[in-house]
Amino acid sequence: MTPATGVLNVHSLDMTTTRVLISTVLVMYTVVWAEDPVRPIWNAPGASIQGAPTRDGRFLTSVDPTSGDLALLEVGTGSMRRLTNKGVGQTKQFAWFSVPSPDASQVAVAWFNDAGFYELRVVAVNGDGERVLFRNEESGFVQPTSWTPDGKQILTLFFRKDNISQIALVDAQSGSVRILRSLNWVYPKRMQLSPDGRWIVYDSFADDRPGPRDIYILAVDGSQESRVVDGPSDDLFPVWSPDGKEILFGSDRGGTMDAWAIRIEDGKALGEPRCIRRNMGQFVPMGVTAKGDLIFGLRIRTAEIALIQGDHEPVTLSTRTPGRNSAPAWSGDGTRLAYLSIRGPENFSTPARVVVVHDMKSGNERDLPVKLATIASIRWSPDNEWLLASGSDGKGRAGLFRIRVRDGSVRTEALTSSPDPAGLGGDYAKDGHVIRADEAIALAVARASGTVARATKSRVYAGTSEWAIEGVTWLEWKGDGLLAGTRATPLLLNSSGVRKLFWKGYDGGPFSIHPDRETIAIGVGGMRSEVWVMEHAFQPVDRRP
Amino acid sequence: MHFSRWTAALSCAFTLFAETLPVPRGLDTYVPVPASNPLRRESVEVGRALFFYRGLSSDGSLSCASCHLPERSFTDGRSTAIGVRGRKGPRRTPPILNRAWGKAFFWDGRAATLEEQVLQPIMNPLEMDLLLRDIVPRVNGDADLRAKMTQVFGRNPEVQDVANALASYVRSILSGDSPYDAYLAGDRNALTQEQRLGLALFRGKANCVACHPGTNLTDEQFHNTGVGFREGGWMDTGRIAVSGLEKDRGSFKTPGLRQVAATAPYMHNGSLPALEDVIEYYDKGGHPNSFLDPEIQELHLTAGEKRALAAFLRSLSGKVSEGWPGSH
Repeated sequence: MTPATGVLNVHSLDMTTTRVLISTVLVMYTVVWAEDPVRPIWNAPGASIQGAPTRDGRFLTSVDPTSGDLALLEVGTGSMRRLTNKGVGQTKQFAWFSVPSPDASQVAVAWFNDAGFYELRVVAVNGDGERVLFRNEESGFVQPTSWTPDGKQILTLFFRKDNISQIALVDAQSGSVRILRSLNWVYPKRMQLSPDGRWIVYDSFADDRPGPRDIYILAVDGSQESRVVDGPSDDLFPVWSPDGKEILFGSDRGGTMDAWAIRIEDGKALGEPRCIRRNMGQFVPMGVTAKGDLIFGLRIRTAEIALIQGDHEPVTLSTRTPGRNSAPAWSGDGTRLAYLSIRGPENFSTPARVVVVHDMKSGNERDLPVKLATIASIRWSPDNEWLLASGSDGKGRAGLFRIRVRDGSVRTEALTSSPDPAGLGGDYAKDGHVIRADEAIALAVARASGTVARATKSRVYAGTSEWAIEGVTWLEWKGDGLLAGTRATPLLLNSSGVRKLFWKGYDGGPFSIHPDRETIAIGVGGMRSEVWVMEHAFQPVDRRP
Repeated sequence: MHFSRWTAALSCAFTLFAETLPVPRGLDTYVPVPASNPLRRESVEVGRALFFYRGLSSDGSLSCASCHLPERSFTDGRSTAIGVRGRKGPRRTPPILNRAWGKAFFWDGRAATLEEQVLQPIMNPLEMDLLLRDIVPRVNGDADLRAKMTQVFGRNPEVQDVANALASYVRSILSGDSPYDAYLAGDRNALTQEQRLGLALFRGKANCVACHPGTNLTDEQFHNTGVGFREGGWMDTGRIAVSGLEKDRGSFKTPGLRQVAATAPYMHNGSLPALEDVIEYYDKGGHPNSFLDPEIQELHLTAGEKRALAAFLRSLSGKVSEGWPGSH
């Protein structure tokens, strides 16, 4: 059984209602699932999985869904208390990943600042204030993951501008940094200090190349590293047992994403992994309490491709992988629909996607073996030979890439220095030129002709005219108009002006209009997060109380 | 059975209390080493003695340090290496800074580990020209060296001990704490404005980072940049001689760029005397050939951008250290 079964689906609510609802839901689940050692503990709208539990399991660090402040959720009551007060609408700052200190008196948090990058802050739980511990634009993404047992250092993941991820220890007082391990652009999805503070467990691609992940244990003093779980399966999200004698991790070695554990001694594996629980879904371990309860996040995705004709209700496209599809794009002749489909596990970041080409007549589908690390959107070339993809390549470089439909081979069209793996937005113009639309360019469209006003390079265009649209992330040319999307709002631009488009359930991503101009393909659904507990996670099922 | 358990236990105990090699700012604390050759102060120091020992060449004229000169950031300034009796090698003496993190060795990657690598120049007829069977007798010929080797490895010297000691020493040859490292650590003034522009070019328009990423500014991969192809023919076919794969024709391993300003001339054959020449070469898109890496394309850098890129590359020079600190 997937732990997500029986989840309450609630739409956005204000904060007070949310708190009441959290309490209600908690009480309900306490009654209904009192016997189930695996149950949800927070599934209200806005539930975030970027935090971690305190050792006693009473509290969970979190992000206040209404303000973006760092918050503390009391698991037993569902009450949430803000630990920061940045003000709503005053600033673009927000809290992201966080982890409490061993004594629960402080929280280390990745804080997105006004300068547009993440810094590491430490916030006192008792209201005594907060301080910036590490701020460096070159390491513009930070993720605190655990504290040393004495509370003096914070294990932190840095992701540098040059696509280097680094495992580092940051002094909790001075902010001084010790880099333990660099992993090129291949960042761990989860890493954690052992309870005795001597070891770090993390996951990474084998040999620094995209593919299934393995699990490694690194000595904090840098003296050794061992691969403790390997093989062709995807093994990831490791966390330590309270006694430091085992690690629990996710693995698809059994055909589904399951929870597994393996014994560890002196930084090395002892014996073979054993299965803890099957069918965990898209789970993300957040931490383990002192008594061995695993707190984990679940990402529940209901992403489908829907086809809309006129005022008719949307019809879901029948695919081989329901619930995992998005970003449709019609071919120029309308016979094929390409879309993105998630494969494998995912966590906080952009999940691995493949390009699927769906034949509308036969319903046959074909996966393109595309060697890109991330794909965010696709567009067909006018001759239907190529797909233009926004994303990141195997070296972690974001940009625009051309995919040959015949064989999936990839050519780089343009690169950006942005660390956003979603890459650059863009589309083909009628003449086959690529139109680039990254956020650094104020895109403009000529009102009458729908053509780009000014060519800046031989292949990449940017325009200037009376309509400048900031923050355009994707484009699609259609007839006399241009479809343009900002992060969440689709716009139709043509000779009669700019019009916002709305569709029920629309996921905010790329959409596509069929050449017959009657059928629109959109992504519908989305993703929500929940927090669950697996009590006594390290005990065999038959010995759990 | 009991013996192996004790060995494992001792190995564990050693690991737990092992002293780790201090590394300069900008490098990883974790230094990867094979389990069969743990990095120890004693093995580094005896490896250092071997590195400077001329007795490992057939005529006693050269040591490893004859081509890897410490005062020249462990290179020799020549376009191609000169071995015993003036024998000229086909390729440039490769940089050996921060090779502890290396994943392939030699320009064509024919050695997978440092332990494999270090004996090959000793035995290469164009370099030190010593027979494998003569290595241990030469070591034993120096009483002091023999005594140190025996003490460190707990037995009479064997060839594998020589390899292990030399590999350990090479792992201790480090470059870090450069202005670039200070900049990455958050010191915004560590690079000049021109160097910062050069860094942006390095990561962007000039696309150097395609092959020179990471802490040591190398992907440890093999690329055909066209240097081995001249006037319609191959001067050196590179990696294909090792892999046998046609795609590797004319490919050479990406060198790290630490101390690059101090390690001229450049490329595997030393054909480009200055950093400016390297930038010009890549700006023109390399020498076209059927196997040219698709990352190598014309760059259209302006004169100012070329200057900025060179200025940035000079910021990669920091402190070079060798051996175990405090041991010599």
